[in-house]
Amino acid sequence: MTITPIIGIEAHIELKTKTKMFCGCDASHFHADPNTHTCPVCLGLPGALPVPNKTACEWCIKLGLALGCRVNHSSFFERKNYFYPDLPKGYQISQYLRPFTVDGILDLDGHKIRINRVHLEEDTGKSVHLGGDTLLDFNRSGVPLVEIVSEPDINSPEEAKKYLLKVQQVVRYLGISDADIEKGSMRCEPTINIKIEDGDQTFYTPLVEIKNVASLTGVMTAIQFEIDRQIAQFQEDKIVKNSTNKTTRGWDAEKQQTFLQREKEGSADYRYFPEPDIPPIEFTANDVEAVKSTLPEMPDQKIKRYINDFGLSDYDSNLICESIDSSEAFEYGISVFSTEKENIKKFANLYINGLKEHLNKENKEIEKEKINPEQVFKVIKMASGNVVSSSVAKNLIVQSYEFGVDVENYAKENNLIQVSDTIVIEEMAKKVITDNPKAVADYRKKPLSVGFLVGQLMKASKGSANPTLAKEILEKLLSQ
Amino acid sequence: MELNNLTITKIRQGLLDKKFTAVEVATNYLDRINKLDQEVRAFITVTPEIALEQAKLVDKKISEGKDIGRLAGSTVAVKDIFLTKGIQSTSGSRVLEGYIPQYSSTVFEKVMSEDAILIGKVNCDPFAFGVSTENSGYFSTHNPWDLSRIPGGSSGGSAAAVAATFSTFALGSDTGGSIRQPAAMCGVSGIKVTYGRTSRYGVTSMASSFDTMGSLSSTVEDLALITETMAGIDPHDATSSSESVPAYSQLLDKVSLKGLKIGLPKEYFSEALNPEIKQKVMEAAQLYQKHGATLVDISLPSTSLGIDVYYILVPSEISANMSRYDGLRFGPSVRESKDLISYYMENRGQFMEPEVKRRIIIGTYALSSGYYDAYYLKASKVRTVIKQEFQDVFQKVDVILAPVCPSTAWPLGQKVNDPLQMYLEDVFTVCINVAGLPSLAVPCGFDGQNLPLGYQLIGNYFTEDRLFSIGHQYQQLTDFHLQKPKLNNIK
Amino acid sequence: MSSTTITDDIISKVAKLARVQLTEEEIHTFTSQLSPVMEHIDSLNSLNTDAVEPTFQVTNLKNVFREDVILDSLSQKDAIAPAHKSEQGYVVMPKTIDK
Repeated sequence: MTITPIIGIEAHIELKTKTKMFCGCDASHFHADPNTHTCPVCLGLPGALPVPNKTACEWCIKLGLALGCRVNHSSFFERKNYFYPDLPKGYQISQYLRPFTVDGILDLDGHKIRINRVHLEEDTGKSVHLGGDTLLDFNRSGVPLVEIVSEPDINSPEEAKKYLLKVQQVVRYLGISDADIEKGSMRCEPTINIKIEDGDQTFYTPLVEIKNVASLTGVMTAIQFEIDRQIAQFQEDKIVKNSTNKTTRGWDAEKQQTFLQREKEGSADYRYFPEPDIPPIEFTANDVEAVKSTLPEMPDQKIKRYINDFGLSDYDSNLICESIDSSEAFEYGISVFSTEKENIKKFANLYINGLKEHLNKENKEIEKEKINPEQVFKVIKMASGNVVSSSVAKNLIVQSYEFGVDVENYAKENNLIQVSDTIVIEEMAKKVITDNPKAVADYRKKPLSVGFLVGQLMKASKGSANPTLAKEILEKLLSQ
Repeated sequence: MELNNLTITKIRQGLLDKKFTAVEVATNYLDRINKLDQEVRAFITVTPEIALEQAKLVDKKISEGKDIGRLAGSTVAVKDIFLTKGIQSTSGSRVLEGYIPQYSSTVFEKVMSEDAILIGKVNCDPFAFGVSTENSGYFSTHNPWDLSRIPGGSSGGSAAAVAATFSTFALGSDTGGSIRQPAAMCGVSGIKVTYGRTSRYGVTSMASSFDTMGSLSSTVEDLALITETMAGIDPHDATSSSESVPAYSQLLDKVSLKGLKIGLPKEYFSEALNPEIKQKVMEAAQLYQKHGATLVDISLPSTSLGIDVYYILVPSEISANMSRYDGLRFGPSVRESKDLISYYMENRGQFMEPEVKRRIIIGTYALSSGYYDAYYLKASKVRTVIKQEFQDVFQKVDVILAPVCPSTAWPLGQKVNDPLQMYLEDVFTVCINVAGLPSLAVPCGFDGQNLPLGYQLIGNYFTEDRLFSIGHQYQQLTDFHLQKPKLNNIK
Repeated sequence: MSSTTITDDIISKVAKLARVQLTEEEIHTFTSQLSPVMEHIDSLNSLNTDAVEPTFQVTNLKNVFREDVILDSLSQKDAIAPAHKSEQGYVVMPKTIDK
């Protein structure tokens, strides 16, 4: 029996425009007092009318293009009709028949996931439950949302995670949203069913849409749970997918399981029709080209360039390019020697293992302005010339970044200049051998354990000894 | 001088000439309302304090030699679907009973900015759904010409207020004839503008792609001034037009009647038309002919389909526009329900008038799963056909002249139980809304029972200036528009 | 397009979709009132519109936008003033037994 999970994902991205989708209210709503960023339009008051946010439309097109979509030259908004207290008009202005962009593709390490559409709509308000009452806050009502709908081309929870991380990266590269799943500026709803091949028979389980997943891990766990549940369910009832048995299940993060949500009667009949309050929107080929030209280099292209032009590894390139800020900081750092592959590789090492590690510990984001390319060049020169050890070099990069020091002066003042004087090292080595008889005895049995003795020497020299020389000299002395 | 029988221009001039004060004008109207509105029942909310306060401000401006607005001192009765900040706006429905809006409609603000005086909010069919004002959740308005009859609808209160001279002019809306038909039935002039000419922001939406905001008054000259004030693009309304606003009031003599080609559409002069109305409307056409115009027989073959297009598209848009009325953020509310669905059903069921429910049901049905192509899409295609027919006709004629409604005002209560009959009364007005064209309703006589009737002048898009000119010149040659009903208890 | 006969059942279902409570009497009345209306509407079938584009907007407007510039919002007080019930700046939903 072959089991193939078939997964499609609907992702919603909250755009960080200054204003809402259809009115001039401040779109920021995190931590704002309730109902302080509202107006007749986003409150759905009688007589209010929507006027589309130009920037939101442009950003939706941008995202569609970045995901390989085609722009519809003429598109329009539609009303999606349903009743819920956090939806003030009793309909959501969204897109249906002719969305802004369609037919894209996202490459996940060779596996291409097709994108059905990337369209624009408005968010609902928020409801808060407090002591038996439901309280409504419309600050979020009307905030622009981009909806990205994938085809069911994803085949595993891991792939789902990869897909979401990729989407998140692309969105962040474009600077149009924070796409933070925990904060709710990126939301995901996977839809899953399973293809079961048993001998010469093929079965498809009914579709299930999962709601209320609030983290990436949650997405993976929920999908896996659902896969297992559907297989078990099918073995029990043999019910296959048809056009009417799609269900919605909520994810319970506490219990770590999905549960059938109460059937929202009539919720499937949205009675879509073109939004009469908003004239259609047309993009000429020139308009599309203009938006295309504002696209930054996207992660995939960048990584390819780092591999080809800089000779960096796939792994390192991915790390450096994980955010647009990071790649910009890196390229700024190498700007003084940008064609010297050797130096670039060296900086990549210092960047990843020195600077990034430091920033991760401090939980800080990289700031390009703090990088000093001249100082970077000096550090690399010092490391290449064995003037400082590689671990000191990492520290110097951090010092230059955080405190703007001149690395040569700093190294001198702090005794970090590498000791390569063989006589000095020999003296230290002799002392280490004398001080560590057990380690010496171990070395006789296991030559590889020389590392411990090298470590002791490095310690004694406060890291300034040339480690290669240290090892050589120790081995020479021990062999005598 | 009768202060309630002056045009906007005469009131303004009278103030400047210090013949009377704005307070005197306002007081005069308020007294009339006090004495006589219990018979007519045009008003839901009279605003005496606001009126006198505004009038005092106008008088102060004059005494200080400051400029006064082009509508200064004229009183306006505002259809209750227009939101007026701080003043109850019910849209003629119990759904909005007691609602005090947090903002005002754009066109209302424009009219106020020209120093008009708000005399009160007038009755209408709920949310403008109706042709007789009998559907109002509050009470029926009576035709000042015959108090046992309807004033027409949905702007029945607006037309009655002008006819009874309870206000100088009135604001109304026309989605399927709601200004023109009550204007004709009450013997006053009314303008339905080109769709998009005036802003819809701040007026409860009925059918978003049909609604137009307009006005009613005793003279076309007044309408020109009012429209000059109301028209123009509004950043709050994405369907409002960027066409520049002509100085309509300066262009009243612009169009020469000589050689003017007036089209008479045969479908509008069918057997459905009351013969008395037909005769009077033809007399109006012949008067134009006498002064040099040419009458041209034309045909608008899809006229009879207009009602069907209208009664699919309009209720469909209504059904969505009415979804926001749930008693949560505004409007009265039921206290507790057993679940969420029941909450919505009870709230909306309890306060909505039958006609409101009827239209929501039709619209929801037409848009429901599987029916979109058959109804909404089909009707939208026929809409294109109707639009095109008008365009073809305007290649041959300059303007179209036609009756406004098949009958004069019928007795209150006569048709309330027959919605289809009511809908068919719109036959001569709806196609104009389907196409989005402008149309001016002008009184042109009375039937055997002394009930008013009128004709409409239909123009191509954004030709209000021509319609005002052609209509104004008719009013220079006739006096139907000057006649006003005698109300009981008149001193 | 085939015209479905309007029945009490259809009116009932549509009323629920539209969230408008109707009494039994209203359901009957509407069924008898709306049947002729819907039949009348069927006359649209007499016109062949295969080659016709629909009109969704009578204006020829397109690309009407707003710049991304913050405008004044209502004060919290004004926003919730007409609400039937409000608390600490929130609009309160009436109690329902199951949410």
